[in-house]
Amino acid sequence: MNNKNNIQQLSNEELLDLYKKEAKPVYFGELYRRYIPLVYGLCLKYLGEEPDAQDAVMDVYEEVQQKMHRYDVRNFHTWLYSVAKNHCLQRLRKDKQALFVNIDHADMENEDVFTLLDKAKTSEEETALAYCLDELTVEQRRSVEFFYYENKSYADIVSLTGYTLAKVKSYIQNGKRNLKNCILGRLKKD
Amino acid sequence: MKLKDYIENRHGREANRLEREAMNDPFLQDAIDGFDAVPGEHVSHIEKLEKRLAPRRKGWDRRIWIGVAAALLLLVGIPLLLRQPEVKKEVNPTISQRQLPVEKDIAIPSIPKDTVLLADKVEPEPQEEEQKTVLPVITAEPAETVAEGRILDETGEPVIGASVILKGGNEGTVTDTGGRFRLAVPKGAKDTLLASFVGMKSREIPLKENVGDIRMKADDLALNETTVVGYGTQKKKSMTGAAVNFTENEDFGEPEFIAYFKKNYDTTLCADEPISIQIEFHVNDNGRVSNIRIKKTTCPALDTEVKRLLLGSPRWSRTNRKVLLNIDL
Repeated sequence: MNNKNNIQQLSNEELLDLYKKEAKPVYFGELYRRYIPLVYGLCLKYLGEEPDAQDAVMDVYEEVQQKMHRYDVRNFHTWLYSVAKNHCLQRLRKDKQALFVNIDHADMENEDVFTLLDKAKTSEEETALAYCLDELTVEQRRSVEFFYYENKSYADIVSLTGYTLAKVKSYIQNGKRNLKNCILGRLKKD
Repeated sequence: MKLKDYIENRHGREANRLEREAMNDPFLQDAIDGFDAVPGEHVSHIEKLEKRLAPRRKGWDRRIWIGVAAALLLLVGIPLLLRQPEVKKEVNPTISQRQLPVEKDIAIPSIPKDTVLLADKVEPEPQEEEQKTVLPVITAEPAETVAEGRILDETGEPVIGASVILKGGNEGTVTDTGGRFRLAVPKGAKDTLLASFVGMKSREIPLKENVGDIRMKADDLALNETTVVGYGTQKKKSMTGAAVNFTENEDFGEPEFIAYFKKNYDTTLCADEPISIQIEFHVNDNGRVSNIRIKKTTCPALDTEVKRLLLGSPRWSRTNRKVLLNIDL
């Protein structure tokens, strides 16, 4: 019984290491359990139906358990992501018979530019940032400022501005992209 | 903040922090998108899944108990069962003795399985149940021929589940997991076949017995439209072919449709009266509307308008649900 409590205190990395060394099912079980919300959410996104997503969580569990023995998994987080996503996409091809084109993260930019908003900036960066913020549309600027300066969540911003959730996300994403392009452009000029 | 908490409470600094984390973590972002896109009691489902995957120590104990109980039942049960033909024992002592060792041999290895096995032993011939009869294939009538072929996509991969119909006829079929189809066609039919599949350009195929491989191309417009699910669009294409001014950037739901309806309906109908309509319909995966039923209306003349505008509306953002909508003008 003591073991149970100790297991829950181990970090994900420790669990992974222990499982690789000793192959005890409890380690894997606890590790995967921690990932259930992530896997379930992902399956909901791609499969669109709760029962399908729930089945997929269980199927991915089996698949991952088997594959762990074959591959030397270094980064469980990213590896599990690709296994789960591929599983769901394959399922989609068989069941839903629709060609699913996945473009979501193509436009997701590197967070690098956005440390600008969080960290101390040189005066050049400050001026560029101020100028570029002004260049954004009202909605983009408000959303970006709420999110990055005031640490408001998407739901908070929806209440504050009346924009829909999808629009808030869109404004932040487009705002970031515009800021990035604008700032890089201005910094290059010097 | 844990994802489980975020699902229930999207507000505050901690929520913001998780959302920022998600910008760098596509796994987390996809999961959040999923919880946004599909309504449901997520936390309770997650907890059920966690229980299902809980460590099996207790499970093992239960299994062992079932095994022990089964063994006991067998040990007690077999002598009881064998007592029934006691009368016959004196007449055929050799037969009953022979039965004992045979049954024992079968009994022991099967302890860990379900106790249902007991019933199997009582019946002398369980084999009958295992034989499956294969239905004879119905051969085609001489008045028909068969058109066969295979549907492939642009990359040469088989298209599974594509519909292949005889144009102008009642015959139709669907391609199998290898992309192949076989369609019985009345002899002398001079029509063409029509192959179609979601997201691909439909193709007409001249009717032949051996159609061969047919390549289908992706329908570009459809593909672009199917990429966006519940996350907010990133393309700014404006829709063609529908009488609307919406660009794909904006999301579309009940309030948007009501505004759209107000803008586009034929105002000459029921012009003098207050209009009150209740509609029920289904929003499909791709944001299109189907199964439209007008439940109540003060203006039946507007029925066709309602349907026309619903079918022609921009794609709905929140998909896969039933909608009950009231329009009051």
